Amino acid sequence: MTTTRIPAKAIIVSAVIGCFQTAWPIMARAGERRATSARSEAAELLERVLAPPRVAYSGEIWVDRYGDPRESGRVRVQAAFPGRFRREAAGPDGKSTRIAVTDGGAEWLYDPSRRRAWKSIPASPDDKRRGPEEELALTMKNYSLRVAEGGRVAGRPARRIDILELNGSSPVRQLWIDEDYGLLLQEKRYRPDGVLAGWMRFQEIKIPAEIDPSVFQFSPPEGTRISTAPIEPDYMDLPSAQASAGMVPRVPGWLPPGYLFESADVLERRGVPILHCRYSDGVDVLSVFQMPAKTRFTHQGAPRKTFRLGGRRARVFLEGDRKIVEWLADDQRLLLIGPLPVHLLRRVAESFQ
Amino acid sequence: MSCEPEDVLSAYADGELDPARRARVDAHVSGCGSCKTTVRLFARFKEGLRSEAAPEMPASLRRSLEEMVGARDAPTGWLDRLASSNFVWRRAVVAALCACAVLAAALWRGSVFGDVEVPMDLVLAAHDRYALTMPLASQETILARLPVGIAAEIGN
Repeated sequence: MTTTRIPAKAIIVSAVIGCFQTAWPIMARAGERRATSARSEAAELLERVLAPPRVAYSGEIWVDRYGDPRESGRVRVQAAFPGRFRREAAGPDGKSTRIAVTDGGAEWLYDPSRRRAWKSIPASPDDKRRGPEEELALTMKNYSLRVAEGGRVAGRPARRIDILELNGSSPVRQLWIDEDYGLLLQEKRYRPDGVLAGWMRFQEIKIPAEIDPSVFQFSPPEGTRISTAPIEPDYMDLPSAQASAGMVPRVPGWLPPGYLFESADVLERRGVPILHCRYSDGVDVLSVFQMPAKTRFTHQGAPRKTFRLGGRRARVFLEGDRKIVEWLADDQRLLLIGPLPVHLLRRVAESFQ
Repeated sequence: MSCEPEDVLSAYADGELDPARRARVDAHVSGCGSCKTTVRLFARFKEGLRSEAAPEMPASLRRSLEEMVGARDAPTGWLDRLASSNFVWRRAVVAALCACAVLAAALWRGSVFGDVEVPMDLVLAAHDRYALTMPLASQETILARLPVGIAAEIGN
């Protein structure tokens, strides 16, 4: 009888492989559960902050936009469920520069310096062709979410959601959400290169049991000119927009990954129709304005950059955190507006040719 | 026979006497050398006046007279002045008024030079208004910006 001697080394390797084969599915499932759990928590938090707040709150918000030019300002906020709010943008001297008020119905916008008031129907996400749930699904599809401790903001305990590009680790948005009430306490927006583009945060916030309903009523001061806002938002498909504007919508041949057409609207300027097509990736918006060439696009300041497009000169303007590309194509003038880097906007513009 | 007075002889030389008186003076002058000479002097003086060129009115006097007449008859309203002015001037003013009306209409329609101004604020406001419908839009952030209602009225 012969016996085969198995080397000790082979026994150890087999044992390790066996353990790994047994443990791997368990480890993988645990990892998936953790990932799913983290994603669910983030999604749940995101849905929570997007839902209308169920509590009344009042406070002061500070807004910074790090574009060119940099803009800063204070906004005093009072809000109550359902859908009532009063927001007052204040200048450096503390006086109100603009007031937006609604009691849940019509929305009033008052400009004290012009002594003008506009009564309008607010743009409702529910009226869009892509509803809030679909828009959120698009956000989740194009971005990944990460939840972290948010510390305290304006004295309130917060959780932080980072919204990251799918293949990147740097966030495009960071949201600080009140742990108790789901209120958005702070938001930071980042440019694609990771530089901070905007920052909004509550400096103080109170959660009163209720707010006097008269706060949400607007009484125009004496001598105020009141008008109905001339342009109500619309959410048309392309054939309807074509019929309304009397021009064939131009569609880009290329869009940045994740961007989809959502709807169109038609503005009017002295009888001239301006077609406005809107694209989004669930977070940011890309606008395409199309109008007859016999129009003059007026702006403050010189273009920051120019490039050749279809044998003509295209101009790039910067306005806060938004960039504008303007050019002529055949017998039409086109404007492209969005927060994307200029080289991506240029690629979109070139795809119209 | 007594001579005729000088005023009668002057009237005789001017042919202003009635036939009966003229016949009587005619009979006297033909036989009176003194009266014949007087009549001849009157006749020659009249002939001299007739052959003499009319003197030119001084320009300053003419202007003064025209101003006096003009001031008396001057129209008070612009329509009266237009109606009282000469034809060419009237046509020029009417043509200028018509041109102004056409230019104003063209400006109103924005069709002068074929351009309608589209301000950047208008398109940015429309972009922002739509951006507010995004799930993560911050109402407070965008409030400080120019709304469409205001932007649409700029330069309109």
